[in-house]
Amino acid sequence: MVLEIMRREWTRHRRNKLPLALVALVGMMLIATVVVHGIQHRALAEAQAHWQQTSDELWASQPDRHPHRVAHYGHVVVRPQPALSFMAPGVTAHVGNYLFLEAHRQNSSSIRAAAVAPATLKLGFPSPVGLLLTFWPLLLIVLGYSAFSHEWESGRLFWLASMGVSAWRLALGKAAVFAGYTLAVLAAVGLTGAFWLGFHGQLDGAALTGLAAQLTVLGGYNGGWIVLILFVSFHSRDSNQSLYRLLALWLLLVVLVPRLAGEVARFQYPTPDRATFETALAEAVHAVGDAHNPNDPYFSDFRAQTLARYGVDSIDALPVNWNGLVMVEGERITSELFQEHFGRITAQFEGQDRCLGWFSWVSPVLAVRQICQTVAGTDRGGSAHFEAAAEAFRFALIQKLNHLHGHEIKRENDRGQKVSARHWRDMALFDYQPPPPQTPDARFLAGGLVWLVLAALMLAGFRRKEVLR
Amino acid sequence: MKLWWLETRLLLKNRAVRWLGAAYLVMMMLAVGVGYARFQGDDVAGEALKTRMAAEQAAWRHKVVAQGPGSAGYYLFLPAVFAPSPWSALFGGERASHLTQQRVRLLAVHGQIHGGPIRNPELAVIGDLDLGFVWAYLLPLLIGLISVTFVADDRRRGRWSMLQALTDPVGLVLRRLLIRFGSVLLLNSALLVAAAFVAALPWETRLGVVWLLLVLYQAFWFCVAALVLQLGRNAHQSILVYVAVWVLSVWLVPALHTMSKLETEHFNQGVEMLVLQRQDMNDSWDRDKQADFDAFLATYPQWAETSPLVGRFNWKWYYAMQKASDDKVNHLFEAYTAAREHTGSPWRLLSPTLVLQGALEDLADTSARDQVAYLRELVAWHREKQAFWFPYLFNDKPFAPDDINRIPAFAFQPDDAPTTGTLGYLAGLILVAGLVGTLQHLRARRARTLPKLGIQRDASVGA
Repeated sequence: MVLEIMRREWTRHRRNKLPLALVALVGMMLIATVVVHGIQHRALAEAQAHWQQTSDELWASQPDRHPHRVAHYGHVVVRPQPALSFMAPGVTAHVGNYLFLEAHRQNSSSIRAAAVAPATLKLGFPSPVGLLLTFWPLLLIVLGYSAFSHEWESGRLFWLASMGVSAWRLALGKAAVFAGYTLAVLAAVGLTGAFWLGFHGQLDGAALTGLAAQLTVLGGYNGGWIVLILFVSFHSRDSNQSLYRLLALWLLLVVLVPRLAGEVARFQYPTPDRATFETALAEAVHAVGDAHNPNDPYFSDFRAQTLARYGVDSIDALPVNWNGLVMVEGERITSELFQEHFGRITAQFEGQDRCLGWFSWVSPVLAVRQICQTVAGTDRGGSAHFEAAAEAFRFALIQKLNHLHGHEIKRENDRGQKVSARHWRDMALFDYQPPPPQTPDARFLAGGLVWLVLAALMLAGFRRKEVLR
Repeated sequence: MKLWWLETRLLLKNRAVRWLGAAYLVMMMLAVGVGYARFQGDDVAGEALKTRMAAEQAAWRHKVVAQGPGSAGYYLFLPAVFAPSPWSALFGGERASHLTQQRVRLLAVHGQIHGGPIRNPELAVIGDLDLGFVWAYLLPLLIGLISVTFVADDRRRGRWSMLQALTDPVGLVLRRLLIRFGSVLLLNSALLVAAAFVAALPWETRLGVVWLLLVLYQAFWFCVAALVLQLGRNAHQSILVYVAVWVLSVWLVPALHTMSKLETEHFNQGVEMLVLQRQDMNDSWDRDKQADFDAFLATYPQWAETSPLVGRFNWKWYYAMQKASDDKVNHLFEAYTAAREHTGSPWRLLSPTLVLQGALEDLADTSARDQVAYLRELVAWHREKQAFWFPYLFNDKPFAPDDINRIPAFAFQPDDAPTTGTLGYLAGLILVAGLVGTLQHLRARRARTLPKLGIQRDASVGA
């Protein structure tokens, strides 16, 4: 019986042509998105590889220099793109993809790549996940809003009831058609994606698992929409009412709630702007002490301790260069203060993310997007991991150079000396290891679960319903 | 007149329409509220930064003489605040994703101004809520929902043939569309006026321009709805077609617009500028300083009257090299900013949504164009500061304490692009739609009156 209903529905759609044309159109848009993303991903990867290589070469080809000059010369590192970022680009377009590392300054010059600011795209950066989250439900709505209401209006429901067709079977049959469309599109995206991964030699177990997980989550999400659409259509007086209700729900769940959640999160956990942050940080560094001031209490203490440690009574008698020691100490202070200040901002960000997590119980879009991004490694956590690794590398590199300053340069005529370039030629270059795939945050997982449970309840509701209301 | 009144009552009696209108109004009010809070925070932060930095500047009043102008240039940061226009409360645009408050010292400017704001990227992915978004993206949906199905509904309920017999159907459709247009416009205008009071917008021509843009944009979408009505399909198909057009304008074309700009070249520009500038500046420490300095003086003869360099380090050489490294990458900066203005892409013109968004953001000083103008102004201001400081450095001009107040302050007022283009564009679209509609209508009428083709297509078939 269910199969028969499904067949009839399918015939109706086929005769109508328009729904099928739209499904095909959206399907093609999705595949095109995957392909275009592939091209874009490669362009960015090429640019990044080029600049990483250029930067490495420039670094290694420095002449004999004073170590402090090398510390200021700095080094560009690039944030590699995770393999699955073509599915869910996530924060990629919103964060820096290049980072400049130098002495005393942290994350100061992160250059963002895209020429068109991603903010231009108010409905999201084009990606398969974005499309399946935002527009596929909309398409399902315009295809299915009259699934029941039209049967009711045309009087067919009466005949169906007299033939003993139950609401449950009718719902299953109709849902099966929409689920079929969704599965076909998901399969097409999955195949194109897998092909693309294979084409670039990134098709390994982790990537495939991630892709499958994303498609499963998206399937569940859209399955929830299918049930919701049938439910609303069943309970609406006529098709118009059903359409209004469904579009209102779509606007609410997909467009409005996520944005409001963002605003609430920002309001609850405010962060300073960069200039204010940097001013406060500079003031904090200044408050600790001024290395250039001979009477500065902090550095006077530091000098006394150092002299005691080496058992000498003047900095000229030190076996190492005092200036280098001050550099090491200064870098330690700035870095520590930066970590402290930036840690406060990170805490605010985490609060904002938690806020989004709670809102994901209302809007499944928030939950599913977050899960897909985490699986792809393109969430904030992914970019924060890179920034932390780059900062650790920067700190170690600068301290190595400061150590050189202390041990290879005499205090007398400090700035006039140079050390051999082989010292930094041998310093290991930044070799970033992306973190292993992360498990999505429990709040978002719960948010997704809420959506599925609601859908299951609505579907189960059809069992106890008469076809005729 | 009575007919108009009755039609209006018919529209307003529809409970779904009332709900939809109320939801739309609430959405607009939320958008304005949220936008205004954002604008205020932005404004306050900018003023706070200026106050804070002014105190710092005042503290240097006597320190310049003691520590020398070189140290002052190195340690004294000055604020460059792109103050938000009150209109940014309504049309936030791209403002949140750029740096609009910076602190800049006398070093190379390109090493300082190209960072990004502190912002949770997860929130950036979601996007902001503002009135511009509601108007450009959601308003067309509202228009479609209340407009594209009324003929099909009447037909389905069996009223349409009677209405056709009793009155001129074209007049009826136009009347209904105009009533809907008027109602939506009333709602939007009322909100615009209310928002103008809430956000304390200045009563200037901009308000009129915004309103005009709104009228034309609305009219365009009503034209789309009219054309869909003219296709004479059933309600379901009409909705499908209208939503397809909407998706084209709000998503597909903007996506293509972005994609058209995603080339390796664009990915390279920013980092190339950064690396080359640093490269040049750092290498200068290992080059012949006097030779470099002479080359600099040859480029800038206004400072050529200076003594030769003595000692290993000299501030005037230092700042000359900073400036020279900026000059090295100025052409890259031009390319970088030109690419970011992205006015040239022809894709934009295929999406009225993008065009309207661009025009509104431009009026609110929150567009990519305004941001680029800010960066250019920053660079120009930096040159002014150099012109102020260099005589102290190069010609040993004595620094009087009051000179601290003569350091050029950053002031920036972006100019708006002329909106006539956008208005003309929207008017043109409406004209084209009107033309297509009229032609369709004439063709249909001829088809109906020709005796051979006497059977009129029954549009209700195919449900």
